[in-house]
Amino acid sequence: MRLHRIYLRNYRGVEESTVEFATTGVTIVEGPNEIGKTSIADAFSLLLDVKHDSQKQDVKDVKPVHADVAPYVEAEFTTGPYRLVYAKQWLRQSSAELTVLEPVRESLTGLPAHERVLQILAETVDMTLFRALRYQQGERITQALLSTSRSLAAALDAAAGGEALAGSETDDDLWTRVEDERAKYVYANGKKIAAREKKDEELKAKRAAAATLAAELLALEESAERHRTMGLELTENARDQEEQGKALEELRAAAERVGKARDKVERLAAARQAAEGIAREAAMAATERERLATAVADAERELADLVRAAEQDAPGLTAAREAHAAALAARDQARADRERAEQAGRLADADFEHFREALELEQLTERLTRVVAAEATIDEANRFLEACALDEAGLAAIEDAVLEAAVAHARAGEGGTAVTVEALAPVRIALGGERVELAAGERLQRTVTGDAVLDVGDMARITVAGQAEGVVLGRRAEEATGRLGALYAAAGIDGTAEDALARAKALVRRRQVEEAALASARTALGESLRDLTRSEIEGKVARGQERVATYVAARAAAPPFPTDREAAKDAQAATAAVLDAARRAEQLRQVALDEADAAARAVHDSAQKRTVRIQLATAARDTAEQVLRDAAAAVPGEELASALAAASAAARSAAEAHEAAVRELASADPGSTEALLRNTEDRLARLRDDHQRLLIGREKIKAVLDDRGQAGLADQLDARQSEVLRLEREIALTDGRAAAAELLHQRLAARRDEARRAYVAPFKAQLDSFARLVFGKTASVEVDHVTLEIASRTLEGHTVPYESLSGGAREQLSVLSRLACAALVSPAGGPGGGSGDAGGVPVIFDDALGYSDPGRLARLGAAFNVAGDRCQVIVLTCMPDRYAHIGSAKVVRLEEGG
Amino acid sequence: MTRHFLSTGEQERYSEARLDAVRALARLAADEGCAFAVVCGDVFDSNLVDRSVVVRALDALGAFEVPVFLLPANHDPLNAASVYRSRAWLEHCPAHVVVLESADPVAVADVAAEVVGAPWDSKQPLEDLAARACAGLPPRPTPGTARILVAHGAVDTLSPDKDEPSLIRLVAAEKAIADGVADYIALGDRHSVTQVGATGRIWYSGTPLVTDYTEDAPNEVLVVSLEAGGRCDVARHRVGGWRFVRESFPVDGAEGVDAVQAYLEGLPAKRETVVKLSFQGTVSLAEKARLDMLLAHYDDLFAALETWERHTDLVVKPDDADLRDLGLSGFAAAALDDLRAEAEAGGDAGQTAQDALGLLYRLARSGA
Repeated sequence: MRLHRIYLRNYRGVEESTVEFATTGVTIVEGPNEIGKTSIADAFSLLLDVKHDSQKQDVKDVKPVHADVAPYVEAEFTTGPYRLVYAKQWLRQSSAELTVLEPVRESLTGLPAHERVLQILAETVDMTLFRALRYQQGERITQALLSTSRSLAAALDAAAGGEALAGSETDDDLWTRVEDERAKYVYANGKKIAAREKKDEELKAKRAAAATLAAELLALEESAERHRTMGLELTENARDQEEQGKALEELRAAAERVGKARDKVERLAAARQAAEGIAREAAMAATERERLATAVADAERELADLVRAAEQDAPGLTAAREAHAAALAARDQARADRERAEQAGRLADADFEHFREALELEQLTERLTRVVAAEATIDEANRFLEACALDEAGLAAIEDAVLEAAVAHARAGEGGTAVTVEALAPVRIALGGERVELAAGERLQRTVTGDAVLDVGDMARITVAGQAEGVVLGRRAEEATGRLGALYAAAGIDGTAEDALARAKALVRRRQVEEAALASARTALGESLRDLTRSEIEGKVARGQERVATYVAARAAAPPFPTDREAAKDAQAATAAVLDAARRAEQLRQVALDEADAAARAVHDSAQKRTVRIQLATAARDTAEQVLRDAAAAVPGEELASALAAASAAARSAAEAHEAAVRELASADPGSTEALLRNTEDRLARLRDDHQRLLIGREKIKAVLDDRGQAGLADQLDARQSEVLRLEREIALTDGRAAAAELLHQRLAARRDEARRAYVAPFKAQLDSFARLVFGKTASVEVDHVTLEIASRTLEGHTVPYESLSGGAREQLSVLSRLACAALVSPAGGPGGGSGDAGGVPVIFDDALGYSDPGRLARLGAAFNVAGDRCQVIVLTCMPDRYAHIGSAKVVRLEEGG
Repeated sequence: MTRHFLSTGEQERYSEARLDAVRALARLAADEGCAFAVVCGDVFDSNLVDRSVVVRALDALGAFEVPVFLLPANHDPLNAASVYRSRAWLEHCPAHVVVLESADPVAVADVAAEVVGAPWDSKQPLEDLAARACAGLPPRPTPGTARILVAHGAVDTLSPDKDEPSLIRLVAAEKAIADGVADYIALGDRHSVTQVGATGRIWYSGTPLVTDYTEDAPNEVLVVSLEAGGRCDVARHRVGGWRFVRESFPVDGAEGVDAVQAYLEGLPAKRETVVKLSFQGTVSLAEKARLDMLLAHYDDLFAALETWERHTDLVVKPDDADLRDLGLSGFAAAALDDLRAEAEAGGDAGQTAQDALGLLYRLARSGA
């Protein structure tokens, strides 16, 4: 099919517009949004699909919104050998007009026009493919649905090498019919259809019903046969009963004879038993008498034995008793020794304790002495230290003050006025503050600083005027002297004394001595007191003295009191050794005593027992003698002997008579007779039971046969078996058909699949050539042989599934697949060849390639150009730049207002 | 009697035909002036038949105007389940219908004849019941009384199993005839009319209505004219109207199919005819399709039309005309080639492939 021209009027937003397409190559219809580009493609579909008198929503949707006008579409196109002009107006004054221009001119209107177009299209064009190849604006990037296209299939067949492997339209119809045929028997998954499964169940049920009937029938027939054989058995039973009745009579007579013989045997057996009993008693009486005599002799012998033994044991008993007495005495002696040793030990312990306490008292007394002495030293030292006002620091201050005064005076001397007073007579002199008694001839030399007043007694006051510096130095010297004097005074030392400093030093040395004594005494006191106070020590001393004194006073005179502690300790050890020895001796004696005691007791017990046994033996002997005497008194021994002889003879005679009767009975074979009799009785009883059982059994069988025998089971079974056979035949027939359908389906499917694989090759080749053009020389694609969709793209050896490709690549591939398809289905030699067309369809792109970059767009342009050589390509776009690279495109510009 | 290859409706017609045969017998007896009729066993297929079967049989027997003597045999032995002791039988049995329950001679009313039966009381008797019946027979009431022995079972000379104890010993039977113990021995068991031995007085009377393909002379009964110690004439009369036919056809090519059609078309009384056919040979897809259609067509016409699978060996081989007819190309043509190769293999797989070819032929043509 090729579109030549399309004219729209009152179609959506388009008032009026005509577009003429290039029948060769690519037509680009460009224009801004909402100018009606999409309407061109839609309108062509509407024209073909929707009747002119339709009121469908599809039609109403295309009517302009704001005007009450009728949509009108007219198209001129070629399809197969036909060239048509086809127009429709909908809604108002609806009409359809068809003018066939070629090959034979014809004109039709209304519904016939519509139907004629549909007929022409069905004859000449693959509308499925036409719709599949249209790429619509705004739709998701999807691959064209090519698998249902017959044109593509045919084209691919042809391209696959001319040998039509892919199957014609007829073949595909056949395929559908084969699938339908197969679906009569199995589901798509190969499972039998429910109706067929139901047949199996039905057959199973019918077979089971038939088997049940057959079993019942067989059982009934067996029952009938059993009934017959039971009748035979009954006859035989009656005969047997008669025979056994006669045998029973004879056996009973024989049994009576045996009974009599047995009675005789029993009678003689009783007589024999009685005689033998008497004989046995006589023999027992004689034996008993002998036994009594023997018992008397035995008792005598035993008594004598016991008495002899008692006599032999007597010395041993005495010796044991003596040994026991000796051992007791020895043990008592040892016990007394041990008690004495214990007493001596206790005294030695007390003595040693006394000495230990005395020693402790001595030590405590000594501690107390040390405490008293230390406390006295402390008191004395404290008293001195409290009185002593000078310490080492004070001495240091004094020594500093002495040096300072000396220095001050020396300086005053250098700056002062040397005054020398020589007493001519004893005189009191006062110089400055110093008052000196001078003996005659004695001289006093001083250096005075500043002004100085020298009183010479009462006689003269001489004033020495000092120099100014001298005065100052002099005053400082005085002040230093004053401070020294104050220090001495504080220390309680006469500062005026010549040896004042020496005294001060001696005083400090004494202080150090006293402080050392105090510390030493304190230490001694602490060591002596330890954890006690002085009064506690004194208390302990007082109590110790009292105990020591009391012990000495109270102690016994003997043994002699140890001289000292060591002696007490030795005595203690000695007594302990003695005690230990005494204890051991006592233990030994006790053991000996215990042994002697046990021995004596054993001997004693033995004697005691023997005494008792002798008593018992004596009593037994006496009793036996008495019994024997009593027996002899009752029946003398001679009588016993004669009775025994008589009884024995009677017993022998009875035994002989009895044995003769037994032999007589045995000769009559009572065992066999009785056994036969009993067996015959039992057999008869059993025969009667059998007879009864057979009667009852036959009755039961008859009852069952009467009940079920007339139920028509044979006919029922026949009917069931017929049903089973019919069903089996039906199933076999169906299964045969199913197997044939399945096999045919399998072979067709395999060949169809194979063919698809073969014919997909040219499509892939065409697509690969476009892909190389757009993506580069290493590009190739994989095409699904069933859906004819692109499964993956391989670039530089790297294969990516279609769904994983970018939006741009997917869009380009879906465009290329449409171009490839359109190129393939169009006849070789291009659209321009001949007046008609051979099954090709135009491929329409409505605003595609929105995802593609400029580089790809350029290469896509080349692909469009190549495809345009083979088929009609129509591009509707508002972005003409995208398609600027299509070399040979015809451009149609749509303007506002149509 | 159920024939499993008959559809339910045809079976009903066949069962009715059996009763019709009994009525035809009655008419024949009247027409031929028979004094009485004997049925030599297996009146019923089983003792355990439905009541309706019993009363319909009795109704048909009611058509006789002369006494009818029935012999219990292996299918309906005289045991505790015997149909002849069922309530339906006892209540509805006409007076002229007599069951031979023992070997005691039964005098036939109004004529000088007595009937001696050798009834079966079990399905597996352990002796020659005919010989036993003859052994204890009292003398005839009058020298002129004809005596007919009615027995059932295989005769030793015709049986492959010579050790079977119940076989009727022909020597003993002929001796009974020779000794004058019986004037005629009427036998049942074989469904084909058969004279046994050389006396001319021992006959299997066959079956009044065909029951199987294997029967030689079915649908017949015998009319015996007998004088005590004198002549014995046996005449065969047809009473049954059904046919069971079995035929084998070599089918190679269209002519073979034509022959099958001609044969079927030529068979008379199609509604009362059961046909079993076998085919051997090689046919094309078109011929096979035609043959199938033919058989389907005649299956509707005949009482039954069976294919005798065991004897059928028909190979389907598509020929050039088939392929032209089908006009297959592409994958369908390739699949056709596959199936043709598989069909050559024979066996079950080959048969399935042939069926698949047939199906392909049908489906492809249905779309054409």
